[in-house]
Amino acid sequence: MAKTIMIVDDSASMRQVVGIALKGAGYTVLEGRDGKDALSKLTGVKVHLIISDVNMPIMDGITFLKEVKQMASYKFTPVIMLTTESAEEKKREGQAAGARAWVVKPFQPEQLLNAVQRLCLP
Amino acid sequence: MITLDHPKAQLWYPAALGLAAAAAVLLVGGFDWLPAGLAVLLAAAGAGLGLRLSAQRTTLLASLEGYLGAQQEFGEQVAPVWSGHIESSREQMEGAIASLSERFAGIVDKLDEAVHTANMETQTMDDSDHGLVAVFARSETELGAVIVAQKTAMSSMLSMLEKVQGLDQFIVELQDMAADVAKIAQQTNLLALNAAIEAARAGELGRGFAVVAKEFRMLSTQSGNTGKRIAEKVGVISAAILETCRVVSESVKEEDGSMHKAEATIGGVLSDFKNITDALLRSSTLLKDESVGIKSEIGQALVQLQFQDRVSQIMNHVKDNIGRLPEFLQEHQQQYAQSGALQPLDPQALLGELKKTYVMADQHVIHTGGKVVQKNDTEITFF
Repeated sequence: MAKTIMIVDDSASMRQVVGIALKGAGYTVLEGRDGKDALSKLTGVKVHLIISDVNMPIMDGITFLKEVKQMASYKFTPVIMLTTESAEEKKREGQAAGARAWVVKPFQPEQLLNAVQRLCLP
Repeated sequence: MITLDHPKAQLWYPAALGLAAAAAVLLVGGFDWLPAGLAVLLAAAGAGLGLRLSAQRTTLLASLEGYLGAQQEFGEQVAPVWSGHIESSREQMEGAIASLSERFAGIVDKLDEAVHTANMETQTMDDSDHGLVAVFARSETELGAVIVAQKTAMSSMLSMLEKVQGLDQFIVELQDMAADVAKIAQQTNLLALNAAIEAARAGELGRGFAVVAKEFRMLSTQSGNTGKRIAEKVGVISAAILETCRVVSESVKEEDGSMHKAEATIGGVLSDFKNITDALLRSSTLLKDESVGIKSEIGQALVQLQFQDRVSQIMNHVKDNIGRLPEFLQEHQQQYAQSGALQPLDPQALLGELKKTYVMADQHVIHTGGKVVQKNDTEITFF
């Protein structure tokens, strides 16, 4: 059975780009427009990994990450932050919140897939 | 920094100077008509100069305040328009890129389906039991077996024909034998005739022998008739065998022609079928390869569309910074109103605010006048 990965990004085109890369590798994709929208979709469905943007309206990626880590069903779900942010301070903030990797846009699909395969839950 | 005194101050300075000069003249010249007149003239000149300067200052201040007000109005009018255009462009670009990426995603999905179908078709063709290749091989074997069976049957017919034709020799022998029988009957008849003559010459004594000779002649006549009938029957059989051989020979000839024709037709059909199967296999493989190639190209094109996210963020930051311009100009005007000192506009104040919004290393490079170098590798940090 295909593993499920959630993509959280306010940019529809970014969700499409990431989605195509993941679907092409055989993953099932679940999408969220921002942190709040994504949280509303984490309702018991098995998610093997989350890829989230940082700068988003309504709820940003770091806040979303902190919320996810408070959820019993998803606290061990690995989260990759996929963002244009490259400042070390922001990275440390993400690491402190529980992110497992920090990927700076733009990304090469195969390199993102390597990170996904490395961190995805069994 | 430019500091402008109040217009009333401008009035008193020359007036006071005029009065001081008048006082000095009176002190030096004494209180006489001439010094007094000169003092009054100096005091009046001072006051007049003060009034003129005060009027000039008032005009200048009004002009400056008007300039600052216009500057603020300029910001209030221009900034929203600039911001509006930037936001509109950003939204249009975001919408277009989202639509474009969605269409690309649709194409990738369809290509996936095409590749999947091509794979299925190829598997169907290659499948060991039900694929086209297997059906072709089976058809070739079965049709080959039909040809072999026909050839075997033909061979059997030829063998039978040879055996029937071999009977011709026995017919000749039977005809010879029938001729021999007729000849013996003729000789026996002649012998019986001689015996009857001799019996007649012997008189009464040969009467019994004459009876035997008569019977003997009858037998020889019957033998001769039997030999003739045998010869006739052998002739009929011979004619039947010859006709049978002719008919079978013609049939074999026709069968042989039909068999070669059927063999050629089956070979042609199998060849056409194989050509179609091979062409299908080739086109299926080509379709699969091309689809994979196109999908990869579209994937790479989509990667390039990531610029939209970066551009959108940068445009947002610039738009917000432009939106701050009217407020910034208003603060500048208020500062002047409070201090009376006209400070130069400080670009670093706005640029500093803009800098605080930067999220990309490229933005910092551009801010300092540097040139952005494109990177091909993805920057990944694992924690």
